[in-house]
Amino acid sequence: MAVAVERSNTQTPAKRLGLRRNWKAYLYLLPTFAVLGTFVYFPIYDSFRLSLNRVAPFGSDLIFVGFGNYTRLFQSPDFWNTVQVSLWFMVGTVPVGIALAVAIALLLSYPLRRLNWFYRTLIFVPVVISSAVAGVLFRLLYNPVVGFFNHWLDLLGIDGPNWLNDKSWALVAVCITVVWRQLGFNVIIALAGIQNIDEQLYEAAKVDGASALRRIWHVTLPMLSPTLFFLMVVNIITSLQAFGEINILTDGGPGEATTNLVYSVFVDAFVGTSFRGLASAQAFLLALLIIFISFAQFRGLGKRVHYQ
Amino acid sequence: MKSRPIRLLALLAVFALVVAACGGDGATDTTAGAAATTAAPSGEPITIEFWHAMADDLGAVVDELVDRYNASQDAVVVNATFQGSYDDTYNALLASFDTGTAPNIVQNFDLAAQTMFDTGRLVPAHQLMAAGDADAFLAAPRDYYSDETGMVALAFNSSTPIVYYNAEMFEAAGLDAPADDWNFSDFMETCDALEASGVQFCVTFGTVGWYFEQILANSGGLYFNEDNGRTGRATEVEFNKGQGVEVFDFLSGLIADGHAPNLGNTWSDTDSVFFAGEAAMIFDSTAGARGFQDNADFEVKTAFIPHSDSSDRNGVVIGGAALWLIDSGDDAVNQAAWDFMKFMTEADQQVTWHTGTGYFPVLASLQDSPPSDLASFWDENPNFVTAIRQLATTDTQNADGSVNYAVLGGRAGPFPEIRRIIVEAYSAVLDEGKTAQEALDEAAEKANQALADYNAFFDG
Amino acid sequence: MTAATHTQSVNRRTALRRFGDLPVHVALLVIGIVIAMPIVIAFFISFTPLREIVGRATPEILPETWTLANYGKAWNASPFGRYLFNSFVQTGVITIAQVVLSVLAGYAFAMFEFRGKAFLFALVIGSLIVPFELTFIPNFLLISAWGMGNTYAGLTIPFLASAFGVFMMRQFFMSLPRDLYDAAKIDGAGDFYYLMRVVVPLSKGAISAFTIFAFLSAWNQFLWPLVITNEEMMRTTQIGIRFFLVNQERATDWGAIMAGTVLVMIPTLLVFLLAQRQLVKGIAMSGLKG
Repeated sequence: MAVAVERSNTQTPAKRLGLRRNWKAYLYLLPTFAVLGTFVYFPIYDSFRLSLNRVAPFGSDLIFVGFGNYTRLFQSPDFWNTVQVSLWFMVGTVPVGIALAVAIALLLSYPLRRLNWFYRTLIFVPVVISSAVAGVLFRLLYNPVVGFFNHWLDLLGIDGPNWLNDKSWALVAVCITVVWRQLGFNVIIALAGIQNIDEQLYEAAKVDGASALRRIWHVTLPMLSPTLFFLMVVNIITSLQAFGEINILTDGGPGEATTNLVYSVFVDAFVGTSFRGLASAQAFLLALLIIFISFAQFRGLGKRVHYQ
Repeated sequence: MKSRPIRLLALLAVFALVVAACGGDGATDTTAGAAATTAAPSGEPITIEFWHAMADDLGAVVDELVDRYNASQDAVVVNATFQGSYDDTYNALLASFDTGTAPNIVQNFDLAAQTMFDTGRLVPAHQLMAAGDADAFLAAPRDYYSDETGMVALAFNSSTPIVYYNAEMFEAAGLDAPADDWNFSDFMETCDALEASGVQFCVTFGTVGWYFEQILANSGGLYFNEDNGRTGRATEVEFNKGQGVEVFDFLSGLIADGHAPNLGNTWSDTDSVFFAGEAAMIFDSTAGARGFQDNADFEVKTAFIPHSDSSDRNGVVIGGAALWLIDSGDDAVNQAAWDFMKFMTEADQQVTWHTGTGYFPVLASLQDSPPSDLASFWDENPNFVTAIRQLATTDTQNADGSVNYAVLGGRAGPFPEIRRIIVEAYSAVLDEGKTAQEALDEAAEKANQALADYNAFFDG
Repeated sequence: MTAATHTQSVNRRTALRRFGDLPVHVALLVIGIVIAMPIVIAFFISFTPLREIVGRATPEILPETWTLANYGKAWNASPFGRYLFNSFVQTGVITIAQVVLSVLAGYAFAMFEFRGKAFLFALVIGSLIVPFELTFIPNFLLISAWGMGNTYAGLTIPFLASAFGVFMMRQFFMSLPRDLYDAAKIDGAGDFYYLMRVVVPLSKGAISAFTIFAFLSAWNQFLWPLVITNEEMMRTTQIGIRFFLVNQERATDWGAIMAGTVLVMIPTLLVFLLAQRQLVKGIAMSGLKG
C-alpha cells in the first residue's frame, strides 16, 4: 500500500501543493463510500453467498448446496440457451448499431449551411427515450392487428413476419428496438469523435487526390478508432444488460427465445415462485462474463487502436 | 449575491448526507407499520387492514362495500388498500411477513392457495365459522378453498373461462348456439363451418396457462399427483399423461393449423382480433362479460368451454380470488376481521358485487331464489347467466360419489412458475415443431424440478 | 472524450466535401424521419379514437377525427400524475445526491493526500465494472428487510453515490491550474471554501454535464423500480407505463396507452428540446450512459 501511495503522490497535484490533511479527506469520502459499501461491495459478497444456497420462496430459510446451483446451471440446456441469446443479442445489436451511427455521424458532420439543427434534433432524440418507452412504442409498431411495420412491408410487397410471437423473429424485433434506442447516443459519440479529427489530415489527403470514400476509409476511420473502440465496449456491455425492452416486448418469449441472462435472473428471482439462489448464481456468471469481456477488449483490441 | 449558489450547494450536501445517513440505520424505524395488530382498548374501534387487488371500477365497488360495513357498526373500522395486480399483492404480502407490516385480510388469487398455507400465518376460516356456515356457499368455490377440515378462505371474486362468440358470424355460417356439452370434434366442425363461410380465424386465445388448466379439468384430467395436490403435497405434474396431451394437442393445434392466430402470451391482443371481426370466437374470463358486451359492434353471445373427445364434460375450476385471514396474534382482532369477511359474503353485498363487476355471487341461496333485482339483471344480461350455469353444472363429485379432484383445480406451491412453463410449451409446438406429448414431457420435467425446489423447504 | 466540445464551423472540410448539399439534405431528412417516426406515431395515435385505431382497414398515422379522450382515459385509469411526481422525487434526490457526493469525493481524490488513497480510488474504479445485475438481488433483500420497499427511500438510497461521477469529477478537478490554489491559500482560504468559491464555479461545465447524465439515467431506471415497488401509488413513470400496457383488461387501448406514453416522454423530451446543446455536450463528455 505504501508503494501505491508513493506512486500516486507523483501523479496528483496534491503532492505538488504539499497538502497533508489526512482526516479531512475521509470526511469528503465518507458519504460516497457509505453508499458504495452498502449497495455495491457488500452485495457482491452477499450475492455469492446466496448463490451457494437454495433460498426459500418467502421468509429467509436457506439450504446450503455448495456449488450445486452452478453445476445445475451448467447441465441445464435452458441456461446455455440464455447465454446464447445474450451473445446473439450482442452480435445483433453492436456491429449494426455502431455502423449505422458512424454512417449517420459522417452525414451530420457535413457542413450544411441550414437545417443542421433540425436533422440533429430528429436523429438525437432517442437518447432521451427510456427502454420502457421504447418497448411500448415498438410494441405498437410490431402489433399484428394495428401495427405499422407489417403494413409498410405490405406496401413493399413483403409479407411481414409475426414479429413478437415467432421464435425466429422475436429476437430480431428486440434487437431493432434496442438499436433504435441506442442510436442517438452512438451518433452523438461518433460525431464528437469525427469533429475531433484534425482537419489538416483531410487537407493532406485531398492534396494527394484521394476520393471522398478513400478519405473516409484511410483518414476518418483510423483516426476514429479510439471512439469506435469506446463505442464497442459501451455497446457490448449495454447489450448484455438489455432488460426493459425484453420485459415489455416479449417477456422473454416465445418459449425462451428472448430470455437473456439478465432476464433469466429477473424471472428466477422475482416472477411467480422465486428461486433466488439459482438467480444469484446466474447473476454471478453474468458479472464474470461482463468483466471478462471488458478485460479481453482492453487487452486484445486496445493495442491496435490508433490514438492520436 | 455570489454566495447564494454556494449556500445552496452546501444545503444540498447536508441534505444528501442526511439521506445517506438514514440509509445506514434505517432498520430502526421500520417496525411501526403494523398498527392494526395491537389490541384495542375497550371503547376504541379496532382497525382492520384489508389489501385487495381490484383496480378502477372494481375497486370502487370494493370501497362501496367497505364503506357500507364501516357505517353499519362502530366496533371495527376497515381500511382498504389497493395493492396492484394479484401478483403484486402476493409479493407484497410475502414481503410484509418479513417486515412486520402484514395486513389482517388479504385478497389473494387461486394459484397462491398452497403458498398461503405454507406461510403458516393463516387463520383458517373453519376455525371461526359456525357449524353449517359453509353450506351457504356454492359447492365449487367452497370446495376449491377447503382442506380436509373445512373452508380455509372465503371465496370472494370468482370467475371461470368461457367462450364468447360473434353471433352474426354464427348466423351467417348457419350455425346454432353451441351445446353446453361440446367436445373437440364438435368444436372443429363449428370451425370448419365458420371458415367455410369466410371467417378468417375460427377462434382466438392467448397462449396463457389458464385455458389449458381449465379445459383439462373440463375433460376430467388431473394437473398434479396426490389428487391434484388436494390429499397430499403435489410432487409431480400429471398433465403430460392422458387427457393432458389430448387437450394440449387440441389447443396448440388450433394455432398451428391456422384456426387461431398466434398472438403469444396475451390477454388483450386477442380481444382486438375478436372486436375487429377477424375471429369468430374467443376464450376469455367471465369477468370480461360486461366489457365484451359494451365494446363490440356486433352481438356477443356466450357458450361453455369444450372438452376432449375421449371424456365427458366435467366442468370448470373456480378462478379469481378469495379473502384470507392473516393471524394477528390477537383473538379480538382476528374476530373483528372475520366479522368483516362474513359481512362481505352476505347476500346484499354479494348482489352488489356481482351486478357491479360480473364476478359470481358465491352463495347458493342467490342462485336458487334470486331477489328481484338480481333476477331482472340476469334477464338483461344473459351472458352472465351462461357463466354461472357453467359453474353450477360442474360435477364436483364423480358418479360414484367420490370427489372429482379434476374440477377442484390443482394446488401446488410453485404453480405461478408452472404456468409460465406451459406458455413455453406452446412455443415448443409452434416454433420447434414438437408434438404435444414432447412439449408437455419437457414442461413436466421443468415443473417437477420446480416442485422439488419448492417442496425442499416444507415437510411432506 | 473531452475533445468533443469542438463544434463544427461552417467552412470545415470533412471527408464528404465532394458531394453537393442536396443529397446530404435528402439523406439526413429520410434518416431523421425514420428515426423520429416511432415518437411521431405515438403522438398522433394518442389523439386517435380507439374505434378508429382498431376499426380501419390499414393502420394510418393521422387520425380522421381528433380526440383528447385518450388522455382523459389514461389519466383516470392510472395515476399518471402520481407517477410523474414519484419520478421527479426519485430522480431529483438521486441526481442531487450523486452530484454533491461526487464533487466532494472527487475533490478529496484530486486535492488531498491521505493514507489508503490509491486503494480507495481503485475501489471506486473497480465498482465501475460491477454490473447492477450482480447486486440487485441482495439490495432488494436488504431494502425489503429495512421495510423500505414501496418508499422513496427504497427507490433512491442504493443510487445516492456514483463511482462514475467521482471519477469524472476527480479527472476534471485535477486539470485545474494550481496557481488558483496558491492564491486562495495566500488569502487564507480553507479547503471547503476553496471548493465552493473556486473549484465548483470553474467546473460548471463538467458538473452540469454530469448532472444531465445522472438525471437521464435516474429517470430512465427500469429494473430497480420494477422490483422495489409493488404499490400503484409508488410506481415511477417507467413502471407505470409498463403496467398500464401489460394490465390492459380488454382489447389493448392503444390510444390511451400512447397518451400515457406521451405523458411519460414529455419531461425528458422537454429537457432534450430546451437543453439539447448541453445534453449532447454532456453525453459526449461523460461518454457513458446507464
